[in-house]
Amino acid sequence: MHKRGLWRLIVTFTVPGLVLYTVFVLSSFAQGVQISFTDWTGFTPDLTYIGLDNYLRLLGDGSWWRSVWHNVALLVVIPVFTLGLALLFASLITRGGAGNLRATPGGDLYRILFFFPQVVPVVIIGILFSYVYASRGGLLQGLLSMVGLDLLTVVPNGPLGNPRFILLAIAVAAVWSSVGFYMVLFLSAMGRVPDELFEAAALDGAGRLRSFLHVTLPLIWSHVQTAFIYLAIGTIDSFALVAVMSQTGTAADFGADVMSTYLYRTAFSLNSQFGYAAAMGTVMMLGSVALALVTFRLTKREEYEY
Amino acid sequence: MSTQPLMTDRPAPDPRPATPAHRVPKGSRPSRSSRSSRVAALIPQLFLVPWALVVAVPLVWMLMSSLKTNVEIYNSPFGPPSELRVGVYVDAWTESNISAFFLNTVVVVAGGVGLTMLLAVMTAYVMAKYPFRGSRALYYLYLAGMTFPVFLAIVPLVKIVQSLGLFATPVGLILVYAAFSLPFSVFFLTAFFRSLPEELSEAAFIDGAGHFGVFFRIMLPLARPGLISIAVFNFLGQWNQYLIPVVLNPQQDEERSNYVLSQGLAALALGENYETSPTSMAQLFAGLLISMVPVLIVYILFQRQVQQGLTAGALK
Repeated sequence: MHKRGLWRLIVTFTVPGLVLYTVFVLSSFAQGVQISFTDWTGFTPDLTYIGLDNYLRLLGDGSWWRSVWHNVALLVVIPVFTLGLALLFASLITRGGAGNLRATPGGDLYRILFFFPQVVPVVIIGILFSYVYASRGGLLQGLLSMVGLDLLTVVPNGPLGNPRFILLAIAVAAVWSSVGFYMVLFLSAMGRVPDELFEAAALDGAGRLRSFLHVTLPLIWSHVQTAFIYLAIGTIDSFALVAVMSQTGTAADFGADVMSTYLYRTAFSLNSQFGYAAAMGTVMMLGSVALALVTFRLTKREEYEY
Repeated sequence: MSTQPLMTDRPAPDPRPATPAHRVPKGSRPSRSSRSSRVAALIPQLFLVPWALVVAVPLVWMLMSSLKTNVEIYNSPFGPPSELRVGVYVDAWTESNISAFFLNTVVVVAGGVGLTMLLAVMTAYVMAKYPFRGSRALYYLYLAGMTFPVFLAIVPLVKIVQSLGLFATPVGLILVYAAFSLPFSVFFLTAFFRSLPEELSEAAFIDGAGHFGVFFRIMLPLARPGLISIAVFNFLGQWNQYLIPVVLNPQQDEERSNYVLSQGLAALALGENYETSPTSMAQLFAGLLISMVPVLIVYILFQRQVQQGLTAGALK
């Protein structure tokens, strides 16, 4: 067909993007893996290869394992609560929790309000929650004193000053900010489920819970699966929230170290051990890919056509 | 942002009797089932209202605290401000240097989103409409960038940006933002261009239009809804960005005048521990709110966009 000018168009349109993408993204990823096999500190122009030493060192690094463990804990807690609440609210808004075919009053309003924290910059959420948890003049302290409790006696040193609570306190902020997003995702999925299926379920005497478990959930399962992978990978990548809420956890470990903050500190404050940090980055990459594959395998269910 | 507690909008329960016959289990008396179903209609609100409070209260509390002195915040966390201290916002803008952070962010995000859109639209269009030898490979190259975590790239990125002489410059941030926003944008827009009808462009070809003419005069206007969605997505993501500026844009002078908002606010929050003035906490909150204004504006527009997109999808 229109051969003339076709290659000119293809080249003009794809090359600029590809150049930018190659220079900053692809070459960074490739060099990240390359540097992980060296002891580079950024000061010498040459790379000295040390084989798998960085990876062997990671295996014996207690701080690394602790931050991996923290990531795993967040990986379980954040998706369970976020997706659980998102599913609950979405199904309550869609059909008043099924059985009832009328939409719940105020549904649009809830959608707009619940979604809003998702667009608030993460740094702002981190700072806001630092003040929510503050022992002097904090929102949580204010609520507790209404029932005659003192935050510092309930949680010594406050949630962000106590290594046993800080991770949970950060997870709460993460859940707070993302429930609405996933609720909107599930709302659009549930809106596409035909009403007849719920009418049939109601006819058979299914209540809210049963029609949710046996009608809604199986039909939107692929969305739940996608949402879980998004959230899980996001949790591995989470940096800003942890960094801000642990008083820039980049400076030291305040009990909330995750892989990303430990990597940052290794690269940019602990004598710039770039090689070692790059090995952490490579492991994180492998972890993300493995996680996505495993999730797809484990949560594979029959696909329902409707 | 409206400070009206949104809960007051809770609509009254629907007065119509719940009649759908299929909901009434056989044998139950109509009057009783009607009352119990009205009670049942309230159950969703029992869960939704508390979460609405959980979402709204911290935000409203931040707004209120931005008008109070430190002492007022300490003594009565929920009390209203004793006077309307709008001056706090002026102080935040000038003294706390929010103005510089804000301007830097606007420049970087405008450049970043603009460049992302330009490059992504071109790449996606060709990949969707002119599959060529190697377009499949290109597809997988961009897929890789979407799957890998940015932390793998962060160390070499410093080296690359330094060697280009772009360290701690707005141009450096713009290029890096755009490069990392490309994969997802290309994917989204490729799918979008594929869904557009062929008839119009074929008619234009018959009328003698060239490839570039078809792109600019036919395809771009058609793709508008998709372009707006992905532009909004990139705007929010880049306005939000924290890791990349922290690594590539470190402090250059005493006033941190090269910082973007996320860095500047994080630094202010840390310094706040030292209580620099009687309204230092309010200034920080005011700074948070100022930096949320563009996001809020976009969010309000975005709501409409989402609804348009949904109806467009339903009509197809």
